[in-house]
Parts: sequence; C-alpha cells; structure tokens
Amino acid sequence: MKTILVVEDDRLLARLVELNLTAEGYNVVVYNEGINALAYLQTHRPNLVLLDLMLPTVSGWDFLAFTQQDENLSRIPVLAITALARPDEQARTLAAGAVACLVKPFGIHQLFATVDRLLVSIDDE
Amino acid sequence: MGDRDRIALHIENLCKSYAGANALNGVTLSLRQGEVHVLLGVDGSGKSTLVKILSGVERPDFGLISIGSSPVNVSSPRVAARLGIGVVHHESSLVPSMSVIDNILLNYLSGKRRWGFPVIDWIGLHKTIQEVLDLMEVKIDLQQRAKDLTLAQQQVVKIAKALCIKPSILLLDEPTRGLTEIDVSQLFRVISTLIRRGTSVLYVSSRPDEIPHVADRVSVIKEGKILGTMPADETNLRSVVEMLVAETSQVMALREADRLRREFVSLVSHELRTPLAIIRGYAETVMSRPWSEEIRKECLEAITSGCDRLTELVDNLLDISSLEKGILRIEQEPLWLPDLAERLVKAKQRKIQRGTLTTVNFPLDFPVVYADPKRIEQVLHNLIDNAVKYSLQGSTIMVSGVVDKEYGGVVITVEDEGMGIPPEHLTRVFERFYRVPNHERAGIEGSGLGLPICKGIIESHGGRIWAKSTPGRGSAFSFSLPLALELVENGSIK
Repeated sequence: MKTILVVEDDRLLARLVELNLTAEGYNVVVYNEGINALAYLQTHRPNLVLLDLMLPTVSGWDFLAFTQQDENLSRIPVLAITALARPDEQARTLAAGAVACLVKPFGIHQLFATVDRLLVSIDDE
Repeated sequence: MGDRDRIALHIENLCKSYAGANALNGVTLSLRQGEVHVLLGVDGSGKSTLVKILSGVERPDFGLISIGSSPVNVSSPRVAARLGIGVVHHESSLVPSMSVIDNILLNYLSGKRRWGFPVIDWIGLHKTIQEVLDLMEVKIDLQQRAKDLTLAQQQVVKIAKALCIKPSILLLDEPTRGLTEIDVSQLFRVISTLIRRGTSVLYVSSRPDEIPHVADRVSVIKEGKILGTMPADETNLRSVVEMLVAETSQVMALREADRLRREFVSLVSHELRTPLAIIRGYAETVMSRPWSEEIRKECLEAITSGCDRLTELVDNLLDISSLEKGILRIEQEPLWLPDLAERLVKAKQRKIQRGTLTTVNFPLDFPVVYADPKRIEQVLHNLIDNAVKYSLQGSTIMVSGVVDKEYGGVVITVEDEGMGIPPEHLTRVFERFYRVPNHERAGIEGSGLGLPICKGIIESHGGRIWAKSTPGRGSAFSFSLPLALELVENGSIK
C-alpha cells in the first residue's frame, strides 16, 4: 500500500484529503505542523507528500528547502496545496522543489487525478 | 521699504485639477519687485500649469492672484497683458516663414482695436521694438525670417514679443530649453538688464544648476505644491536639490496605501480560497461514495464550518467598510467582562489544536462597563485568535483584566508567549491591511483586517487599544474601556 504524507494545518482540509485518499486505498499520515512532519521523515519514506504552503512556524517553503537539501528526501515528490493562484506564484512553488501545485479550491477528482499521475510517474522510473 | 521688498505678484492657495488629477494643490508664492524668482520643479510638477494660469490661458479652480496689493482676475491672455504680465511659453514658437518684425507684430495685434479692427500704431511700435532690442543689446535684423535665426535669437525675439507690452512682470517658462551655453549666458545678460529696469521675473526651470547664475530666490514645486522658498545662494543649492528629489511624505503615504490595497486584494483572495476548498471538497466527497451516516454528517458539518468562515470574512469586510464610512453601530448595555472572557476562553480552549493553554485572571470585584457585548466579544475573539495563531506549541495565552483608577476604566489584556512583533512594526499592526512582513509569519494566513477592526470598535467605545511585544518572547495586546460615569462617582471602584 502506498503511503501519502499530508502536511496541512487546517484540520478540515487535512481531514478532507485523508478521508478521500484513504477511501481510494492509500495509507494516509497527517501532520498539522511542518516540524512534526519533518521529524516523521527522519524515519519514514512516504511515496508522496501533500504539502500546504501556508503553515505556521515551519512554512511549506521552509519544508521544501529542508527536504531539497537531503539527497534521499528530495526524491519524494511533493504536491503543493496552495491558495497562490497566480502563474508567477506557482512558478516560484515549482522552483522551490514541488513537482506540482493543487490550487484551492480544488475538486476531489482533481486531487485523485493529480495524486495518481504523480504516483504512476514514480512507478515508471 | 525698498523696491526690492515690494511684492509685485502674490499667489495664494492656487488650485487646479484636470480630470480629477491635481496639477496645482494650493500653491502660495510671492514675487518681489525687481527679483528673479526661480520656480524649480521636474516635469509634471505643476509649474507650466501655474504659468498658464498667470498668463490667462487657463483658469484656476480656486485661489487668489494679486498684483501689487490688489486681487486680479486673469481671465484671458489679453487681460494678463493689460495687467502687465508678459509671458514666454516654452512650447510656443515663432512662425518660421514670417519675419522677426511680423512675429512681434502678431502679439501686438491682439492689443487695441477700433470698430473691431486692430489699430496699429506703427510709429509707437517701431519705437517700442527698437527700445526692447536696445535693451537686450542684441543685433537682430528685423526683416530676417524667423526660421533663419539661431535658437538663442529666437528666444530673444520671443522675449522681445513679450516685452512689447511693457510688462512689469515677466514669466519665463523654461527659457533655456534647447539653448547652447553661449546662448544661455546671453539670455542671462538680458534678464539682468530687465531686472535693473525694475521688471520682476518669475523664471520657471527644471535645472537646479541655473539657479546660482540667475536667481535671487528659489521656490521648489513638487506635485502641485510649493515645498519651500529660500534665497538662491550656493549654500542652499544642496537643500534645493534634496527637496527636488525627495518624495513628499504625502506621496509616500499614498504609495504605501496603494501598495497595501493591492496586497489586500490578493490576501483576501487567499483567505477566500481555503473555506471554498473546504465547501467544494466536502460537497463533492459526500456525493462521491456511499459513505456511512457518520461520515456524511461530518462532511455536512465541515461545509457549514466553511460557510461560517466565509461569513466571518465577509462580515469583517463589511465592518472595515463601515468603520471607513464612520457608520459602525455600537449598542451599549451593561457588560461584565469576566463572564464574557470566561465563556470565550472555554469555547476557544476546545478548538485550540496546538495544545496552547488559556487562563483567565480577573479580580472578583471587576466593575460593569457599558459596551456592545457582541462587538467586545468580536475584539476579544480576534485578539485570542491572533495569540493562538502566532503562538508556539505548548505555550500559554493569558486573558486578564484590571481596573485602572487613574484612567477611570478597565484594561483587558491578551498575552501570549509567541514569536512577538519587531518594534518597527508594532505601531503599524493596527493599520488597515498591514501585515508584519516576517519570514516566520510567511505561512500564517490573515487578511490584515482583524486588528484595524478591533481598533475601530474600541475607539467607538471611547477606549484605546495598544500592543507591547518582545520578539521571540511574546506579545500583549490591551484595550481599555471607560467606566460608566455613575460607577466612578458613587465609588463602586475601590
């Protein structure tokens, strides 16, 4: 079973993603704080990270900066969940190391499609 | 009183706007008799507008023009000429194919008329022109065509045109534009000759380097306002240039307001997206599978919660707009703050995700205040939410209340052990749309509306709101509310 790490401080959004991805057959691990998620990554290797950029204390950008430095962690694809909808903002997110952006308000089918696409592309490698 | 102290021209609070944009924004300026007064400003500062108004080409929206000590109405260029105001506009030019004398005549023709026809006093005219040219010590063939003249000669002819009406006040709008250095020194000689004859010159320029050569005094104009007037000696040149390049505080404030407004639009759109994502996501979820009754209920509750968040944002926007218009309604009734604080803290405690503890510390004999319970709850709610938002896991948030006898009111404080606010931003957090540009905060959502609304509410109650903070150690937000007068008088406060 594939594991997806969800880093999202908004409990309702985190639960939304957890509910749906679990129903799709994924193992979902949720953290509300970036720092705890980074701690989790010290001992675990999820197949995909869903990362909210607007996080308190350790922001999504900080999270990316940290994982991109680490040779092993940088291999885990990160899907950014963001309210930043402008093309330049999305370009910045991708430049920071995310492989794709999911812009709020996203539909659940969009969520499934993006997650599937990212996991399939890993399988291909 | 010497001639030089006599005021030839005085302008008071002159205003002019074009299509809503202020070209002149209350210009006040005096031109002494026999002085060269440089009006220095960059393009678009309003100096040409001023020249146009003084020469009767444009009418001011507001303000007073006086010549000598009597107010005048410069309603047209002809009136200006009759009042003794001669003008050399920088954009006007001579008719190239016409001779010098004919060019000068063009100006003269607009003078006396008899039975509707211009009357030309040929003898007088030739005498005047000769006088003017002698005065300027220039040799120009009057029959030469204008297009064959050098730029400096053309400028001299333009001045000669203006001088034919024998003005006591001469307005020169950027007279050196396009002239060579030699031409410029010739022009300056002409100006000093005119000054010796008692003419007063308002010399409009965008070049500070000309000031030492020509000016007695200099005024700096910027964005339609005179920033200052000073004697034109070398020592002042530096401050003149500084004035010219520095942004006025008003302009800076406007720019900042504009920036905050633009930022606000993007902040609000971010703020809208999270509750929208919740509503859309849960609505789609509920329809996507045959969920258990429990999960269906959870989804519907989440949708309601998303709607509540949207409502709160919309309410905040309405509050800000009411505060701006000064129509925020305050309904005052007796209010015992410890109750309110307790209730809020209990409700919040349940929702706090990151283990932050909240305690209440009110004296038992806390007095009753007259205030709008809903509005004060909104303020406390906001301050506590902020404290939670900017706190670290496990830290304490304390809501407390004290009676300030000296002030005659109560002070409520919400204190956190969060990241704190740097002092340079502390006073600005109550400004509309302002958010502390801090790296640590980059991840925290907010519209920059909460604190300005709190400030508006508290001030509408006659109270005050303020903040103290130590970066890295925490912040304390306090507000005061005045006590009802009878409570103070009958000594219910110990």
